[in-house]
Amino acid sequence: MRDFVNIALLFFFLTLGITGLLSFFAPFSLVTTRVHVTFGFGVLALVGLHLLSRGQYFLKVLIKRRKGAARRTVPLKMLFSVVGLWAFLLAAALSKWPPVSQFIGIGYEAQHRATIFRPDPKAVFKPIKDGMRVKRATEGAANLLIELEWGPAFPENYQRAGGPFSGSRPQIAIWAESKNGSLIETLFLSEKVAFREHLEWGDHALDRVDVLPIWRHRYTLKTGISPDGDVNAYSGATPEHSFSLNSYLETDADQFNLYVEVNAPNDPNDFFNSSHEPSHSGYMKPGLGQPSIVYATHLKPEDQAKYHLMNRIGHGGSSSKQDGNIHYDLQALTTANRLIEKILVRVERADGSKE
Amino acid sequence: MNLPKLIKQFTQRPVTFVSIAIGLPALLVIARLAQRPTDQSISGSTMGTFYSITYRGGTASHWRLQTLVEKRLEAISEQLSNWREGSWIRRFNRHRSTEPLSIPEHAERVLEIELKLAKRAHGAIDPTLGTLINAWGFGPEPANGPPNEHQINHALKATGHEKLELHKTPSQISKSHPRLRLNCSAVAKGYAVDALANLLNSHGVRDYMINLGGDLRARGSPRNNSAWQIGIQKPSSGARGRKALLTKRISRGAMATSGDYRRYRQTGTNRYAHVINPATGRPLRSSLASVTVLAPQCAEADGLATACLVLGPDKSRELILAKEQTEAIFIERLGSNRFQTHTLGQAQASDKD
Repeated sequence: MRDFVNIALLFFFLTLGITGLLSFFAPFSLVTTRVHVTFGFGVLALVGLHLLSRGQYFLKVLIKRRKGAARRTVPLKMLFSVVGLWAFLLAAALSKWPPVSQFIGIGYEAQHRATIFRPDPKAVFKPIKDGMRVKRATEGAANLLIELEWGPAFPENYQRAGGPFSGSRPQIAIWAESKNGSLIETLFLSEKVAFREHLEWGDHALDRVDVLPIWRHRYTLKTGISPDGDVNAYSGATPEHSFSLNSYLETDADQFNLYVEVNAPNDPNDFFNSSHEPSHSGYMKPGLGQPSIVYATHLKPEDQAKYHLMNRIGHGGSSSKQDGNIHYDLQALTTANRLIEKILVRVERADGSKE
Repeated sequence: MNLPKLIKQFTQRPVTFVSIAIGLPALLVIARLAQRPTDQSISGSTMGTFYSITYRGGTASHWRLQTLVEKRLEAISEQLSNWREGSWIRRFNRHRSTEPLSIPEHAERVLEIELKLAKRAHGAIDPTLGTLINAWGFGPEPANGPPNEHQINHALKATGHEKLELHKTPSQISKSHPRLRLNCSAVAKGYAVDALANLLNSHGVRDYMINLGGDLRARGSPRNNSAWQIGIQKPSSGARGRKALLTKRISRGAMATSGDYRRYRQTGTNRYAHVINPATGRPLRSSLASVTVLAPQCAEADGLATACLVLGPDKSRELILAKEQTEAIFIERLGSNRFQTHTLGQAQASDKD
């Protein structure tokens, strides 16, 4: 038993250590988290077994034996040192004291806080058969429901031979904007682009702005970090604006626009591909294929329509023309036009009425 | 110290040797990594609009700075928000007496700035327009359509910066007309930006950009550039947020814009903007779509932007040229989606440190 526990601990702890370091220093990954949690429980069980088998030792060192019997106690000084160190680290971790705060500060999350996207806790994503659903609930007024159905071109592009670590999923961004084009809230962002500005996608090193350029330029308003150093912020007459959809889903609230941007890797066509010169209007960086596609709809609180069908309105532009503006010519797009079958949006009131 | 003996002792304790050999370099790497700050961001809503702060470095942790930012903005709103029930400014506005009332810190500073600007601008900016602003439907109290001539004249009697007086020790404020109402929206956002800049400066942040509803202040630079790039928005009500007419590079200074294209009321075919001309008591009607002012402080830039919008480029000349490091960009509407810019003054928006 002892040999089993010791050798197993060697492998399990090594795996836990590696995935722990990856979780701390690298962008979030579901795969890393799964492995880390699995082996975390494994190490917990093995250490538990180890401690149980050393039960007699702990009894001897922690509890003084009766007079006359052989005593093996550890010095009190050492015991207090261990407990003291444990208590200090626990308090430091709970209360964000140094050195814990400094140590946490060098982790990936802390260093890239400005660019890591996390949705509002009330925005929930759920994969469904042949699509996905996003629901944005509010405190009481209304819920926003978005249902996206994949088109015929969707599975062709990412389901490659290999295990769960190969292939690149199409990346999707769903966000709301005010009438004057200011980002209100991002409701959903695919995992790969959610945690990093620079990513490996379609077997190539790319930037987030290459994959979802329209959303990324809109996101600059919230973070002040422009993807290309062009403009960090805009000065203008003060808009009535909030970075939360809560107030926009009230019954008498202002109108807003909803956008979906989707991009699949490695889907070039005759016009959009990487074999052109970089100055060509159809040049796309390797790995991208056709540019992202943008869908939009306008939502009015007083609108009586039950469902809103999002319209395909344009694309994100080629790599040579990517400026964060939507390009409205869809003629040169082929399979990209068939990535999504339809997107339905509904505002559901808390009183059960539907908009 | 006997070095060979020490080395022998270490090598005879391999665990200790390996722990120190790996641990020390690891600690050095960790310490080195901890010194490389990255861009951080704090954002939220305040004063009916958004704020976004991008910064790098500093002596305080991100969580602490975020808490301090929120507290500072909350304190300013508590004193100066015309929409918040229980704010100081609403209590003052309900105070129908000419007796002095105590004034809290932020309100006092904002009014000092705005009253000085009011004198310099010959009344083109005025913190006492609360009654008029409400009458035209831009205040917290609902209005039943635009006011008539009688209502405007009645409201004008209760306005005028000369009717307001600030007293020191103790800090108090008094009004010579009991119906006088304050509205500090011409300067309050700019003041809030300066307050946040002071907060960041006091915590050792040397690279930041603060954006509060389009009023900005910047220092240093972002990671991927040598200065902050600020676009001046195209002043069209249908314009998307990303359309910039001009771009300015700022590494030390503030920028604020006043315009008539975002907040307005429409009755029938009449559209009237939220900027009230203190001289006439009526919304501004002008070919000017917006004015952007660059200045060292955002409160001053904010107030000057409104004053210049009211005065126009010719009458603003003296106001702008009298101040160093101040520049005004006037954007005039020529027709549908066509604009022309004029610039007065020159701001040297770069860091002299």
